[in-house]
Amino acid sequence: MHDFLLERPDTLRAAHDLLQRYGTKAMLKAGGTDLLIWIKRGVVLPECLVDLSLIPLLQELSLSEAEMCIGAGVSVARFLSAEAISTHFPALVDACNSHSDPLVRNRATVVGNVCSAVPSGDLIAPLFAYDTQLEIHGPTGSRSCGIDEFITGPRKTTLQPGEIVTCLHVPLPKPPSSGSYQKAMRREALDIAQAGVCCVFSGKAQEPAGRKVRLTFSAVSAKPVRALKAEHILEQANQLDESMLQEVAILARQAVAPITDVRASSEYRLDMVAELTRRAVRACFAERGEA
Amino acid sequence: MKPIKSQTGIGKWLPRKFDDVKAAGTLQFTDDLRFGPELLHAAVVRSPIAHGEILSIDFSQALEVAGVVKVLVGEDFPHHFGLYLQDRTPMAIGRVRYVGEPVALVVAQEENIAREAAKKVQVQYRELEAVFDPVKAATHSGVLVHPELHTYNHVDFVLPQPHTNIGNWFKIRKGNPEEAFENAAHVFEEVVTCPQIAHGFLETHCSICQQDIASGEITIWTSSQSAFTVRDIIAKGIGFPLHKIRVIAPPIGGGFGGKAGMTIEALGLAAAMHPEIRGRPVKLFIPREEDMLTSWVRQGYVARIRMALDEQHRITGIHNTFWFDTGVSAEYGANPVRSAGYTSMGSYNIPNVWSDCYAVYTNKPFGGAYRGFGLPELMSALEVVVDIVSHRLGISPVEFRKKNMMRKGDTTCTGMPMHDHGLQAIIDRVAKDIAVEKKEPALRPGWKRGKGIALAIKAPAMPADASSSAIVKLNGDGTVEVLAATMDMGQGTYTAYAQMVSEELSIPYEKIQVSFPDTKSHPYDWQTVASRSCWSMGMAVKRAAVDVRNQLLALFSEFWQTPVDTITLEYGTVMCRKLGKTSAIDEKVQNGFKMPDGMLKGGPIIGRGSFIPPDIVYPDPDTGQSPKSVVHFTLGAVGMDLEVDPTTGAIAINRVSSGYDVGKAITPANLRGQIEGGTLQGISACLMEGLAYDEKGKLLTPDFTDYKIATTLDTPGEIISFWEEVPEELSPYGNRGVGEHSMIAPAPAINNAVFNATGSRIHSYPLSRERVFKALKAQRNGENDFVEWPYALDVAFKKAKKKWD
Amino acid sequence: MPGKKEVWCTVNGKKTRLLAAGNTTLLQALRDIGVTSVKRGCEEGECGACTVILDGLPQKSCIVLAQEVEGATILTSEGLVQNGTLHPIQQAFIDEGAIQCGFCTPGMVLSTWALLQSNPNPTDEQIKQALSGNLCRCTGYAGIQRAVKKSAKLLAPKLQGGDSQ
Repeated sequence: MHDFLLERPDTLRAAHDLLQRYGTKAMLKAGGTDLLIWIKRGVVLPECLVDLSLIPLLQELSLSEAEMCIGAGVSVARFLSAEAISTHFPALVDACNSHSDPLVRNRATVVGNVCSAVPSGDLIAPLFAYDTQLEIHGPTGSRSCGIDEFITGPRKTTLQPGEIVTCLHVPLPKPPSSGSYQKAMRREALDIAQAGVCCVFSGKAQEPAGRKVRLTFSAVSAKPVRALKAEHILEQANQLDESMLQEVAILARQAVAPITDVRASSEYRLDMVAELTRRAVRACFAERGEA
Repeated sequence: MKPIKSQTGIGKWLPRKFDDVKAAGTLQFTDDLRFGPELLHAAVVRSPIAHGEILSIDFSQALEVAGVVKVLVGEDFPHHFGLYLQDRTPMAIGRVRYVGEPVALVVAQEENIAREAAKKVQVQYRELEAVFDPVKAATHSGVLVHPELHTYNHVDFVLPQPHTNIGNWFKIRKGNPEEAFENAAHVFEEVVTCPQIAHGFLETHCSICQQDIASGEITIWTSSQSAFTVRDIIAKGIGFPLHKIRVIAPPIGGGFGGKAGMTIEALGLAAAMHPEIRGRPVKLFIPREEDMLTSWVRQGYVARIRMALDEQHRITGIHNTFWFDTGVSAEYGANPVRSAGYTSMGSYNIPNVWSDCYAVYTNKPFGGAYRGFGLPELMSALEVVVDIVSHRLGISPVEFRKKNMMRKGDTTCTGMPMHDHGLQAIIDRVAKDIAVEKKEPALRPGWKRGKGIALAIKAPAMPADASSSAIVKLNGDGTVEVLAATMDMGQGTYTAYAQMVSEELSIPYEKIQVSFPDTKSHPYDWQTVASRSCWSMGMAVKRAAVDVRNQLLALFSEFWQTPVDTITLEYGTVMCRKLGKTSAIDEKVQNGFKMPDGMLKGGPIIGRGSFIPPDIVYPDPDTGQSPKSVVHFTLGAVGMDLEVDPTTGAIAINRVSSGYDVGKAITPANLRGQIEGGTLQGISACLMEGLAYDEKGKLLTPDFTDYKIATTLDTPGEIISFWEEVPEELSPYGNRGVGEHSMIAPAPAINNAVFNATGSRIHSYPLSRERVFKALKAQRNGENDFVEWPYALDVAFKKAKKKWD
Repeated sequence: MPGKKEVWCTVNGKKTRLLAAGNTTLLQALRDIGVTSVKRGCEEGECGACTVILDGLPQKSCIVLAQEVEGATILTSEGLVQNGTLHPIQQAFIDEGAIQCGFCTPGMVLSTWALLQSNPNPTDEQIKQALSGNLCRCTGYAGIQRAVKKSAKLLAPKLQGGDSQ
């Protein structure tokens, strides 16, 4: 494996200093479960890894009346075990449980999954569906951006040199809320998604603001996309019916553009998008007792 | 009274040898061996193209890396190696023939340095057209993978076809197949395909080679199932005497055939024998992502089977054509092709047989030994065809199989009479366990449930002269050491040998130790393959133990002045009830017995046993006929109760029942382990495994990221394992081989159950979720048979099924 | 290139010094000091043969950097052996036919240990979930499943008293 310097700052400030010093030769590391494999395979060749795991600030996992905050150091397993918090985000829980395996989940971080920005990233679709905002600290100040502004393509983000994603702000969905993440893979565990579909409902259809629906995907588009037309239909739907479900599934297929690779053909991925959409939507209705 | 009493003999459930150190993690595998700073490390530079001439290799930049000692290329070690056919060099010489072929070896002080420096070796190629499809390669390819095939040395029972891509052609011509098909009431023809698959053991290959600068003696520590065969192949390859090569085989982390024969050893040896390195040990550790490119994979295949039946639904003839995709080398792959060929009647009594089995060279990694050795391949096709035929004839698959089953005295396709076996009882049990005739509702809403069975048959596939020998040493404290050069790679053979020795000497199991192979200390054994060890080495171990017993009893007879038949061995104690005498097995067996006449007799007691199958005759090269082509067959059956999710193509297995006629269960604990493990390996192969390549021949599934094997969550709801015991005549205890057999029938049983569940017949493995889903989609368009050519990227051959005659 | 650093941590109860470059994995560093129970199976986090308990949690040591374990507590399968006696989980693996080649075994044992720490009485499904990151090619997992259930029984009284390393 290519060698590098591992720096382990314990403040954000120190981390910024290191980024400044190494410029584009530095890479940020949280859990490192993807990054170390990329380095091993020679996909990236950083001179310095700036490890964020010792910065106390980034270990925040909290819930306020308005939102959940997940710091960049919070592992997938830690999120899952914080049941008082995670229970509000069932689609994210589904995705976390389907992500990799229990051992890797002890190390891999939620924020890291977003920053890796691979199309198959399991947590990206639910975080997008929950309208997550990334809090990004740069050398001169901070900014905030949505998942779809942040990820611009496979392994491509708008993160600028010197910037650090410090935490995710995930707004609490308006009750009653329900959510589901459905994943197709080649076996029952520890696999990269062939296709993933996330559906989140929040709010009541009868209320003035109406029900809000998000339908997002994994492994079937280069960057995060929503099935807007399908969402619109679901927002108007009073109850689950098969013809509506069929229409939503077709619209979901139309919203994505999967590739063919060794994991699955584009055709299969499209068919799975339709099927998993039906499942996710059914689950959302069922959770609310509206099925 | 029984003269030998043991509580720990054959048939007992006992804790397995070496399990304690395996649980603690202190057992040292090859990668765990420690050397001093003299140890060098090698890393491999591999070809990025599938076929081409090497124009130049520039390793000057690699040599500049600090810590790099030497870079070697093919010409530095121009020896040909091979078990049955010497068609391979450790590194390419002049021409590369697959993506991943070694072209250079970088030797450095540290492993990471060697790996990083290997990236700096620059090789120029002139690319040549490649061939990936075995049918095309065999029938009308302009590309020759081995233009020099006619010059290679080979054993006389392997028949390479010069100036073609056929590395071996094995034929069966029994009876009059032409007439059988002319007179048949029914004729069926079916095609089944399967890609290459990988062993997926968790320990990758590793070896350390060293040559003494003074004596020239070579020592090789290696993750191998075949210490002596490594020694043989290397000795023949480099023209070296056997006694100057020492092969030490530490424990291995799974073999399944992938560590049989010689795999990476010669590559490491190329460095260790180089004059500038000689004297220093050189370690070659193969990382996971290179393992499938460095060692065997299971051969892919295309099978075409025609079957003739009479009015009474008896199979009267079979015509088989098997194209095995052996990749770049047939040195080992030549033999599974024979193994499939001489079992090409399956478990059935078929009077007229015509089989052509080809080992076909392609520009892909090399095919060779894999658990089942040709039979999982053959049965995944034949047992599906049998199912199709029974369905088309409208009889139950169970009844059809029982009706046509080969019974004692029927002849196999090589003309050899079948011995007695318990297959019928096994079929009945399996059918009952899964209630095969009963249509049951699916346990999962919306899924479709089905049942299917398949039969398994296999003989140890080995040369007629595959021999074994063992030494049993009796220590001065009544403990025993067994030298038997079998590799216990998890199957538990050492446990079996210790139980055999306990059976013969009465000595408690825990006082008997068996050690891992070292060709310097151990007597010869061919290889740990072919499900032959408990049988062949078992004969040698038993004979050696009996030899010890005879010596021991003779000495006590004189010592106590009583006839041998008055002496008994009871739980490790020597007794003569007539005289009321008792003796521990003590220092007398080492330092001699002081006899009544005052003279010392005896000395260290060593028992020896040798075995070679006495009556095997190689099949005739033109007809495949032989009075006795193999030592015995082990038969069995698998039943699957499963369900299919039509919305994704996923398959979930509710219950498997898997039974074999093992003759005699020596170690039931291991037997259960072999059945459970092989069953899941077969299920995994069927559901998710296959090597995939891009159109340039680059392997897309080199590691566990994309070569998926079953996890805990992919296991069946229940695996029922059982066995029958119809004893084998020529056998240490009536036992037959069974290590491979559990891998043979799960795949066709799944295939048959999927058909039963859905009405769709899938002719191409694996039955991945995507493929099952596609098949069910095709079914909605009226296609009940679903074939996907495994070499679909070779576009011209997409429709080869219609073209290949 | 950056040089090697000293890393101090506790391995199986003993203060231990590891020598590690930036890119040295915990797997490699442990193997360098003679801990053989952690195996190189894939070095990409896919097989679980290198599993360790790192600060109480089962993790794959091939995707942890050695320099990250400064001050950490690491338990490997060797560390479960007390005064020459195998841990009940290790013994259950032997008794239930959960071991064949032994390459995955230490990792399986540790994943089992971690599962039973957090869930002393797991269901069949929970056992499968907890071990789904540890591959075994030999046993078909049947013996392993039996061994975990047996371990749970053996450890039930002990765990209530707070079984530690």
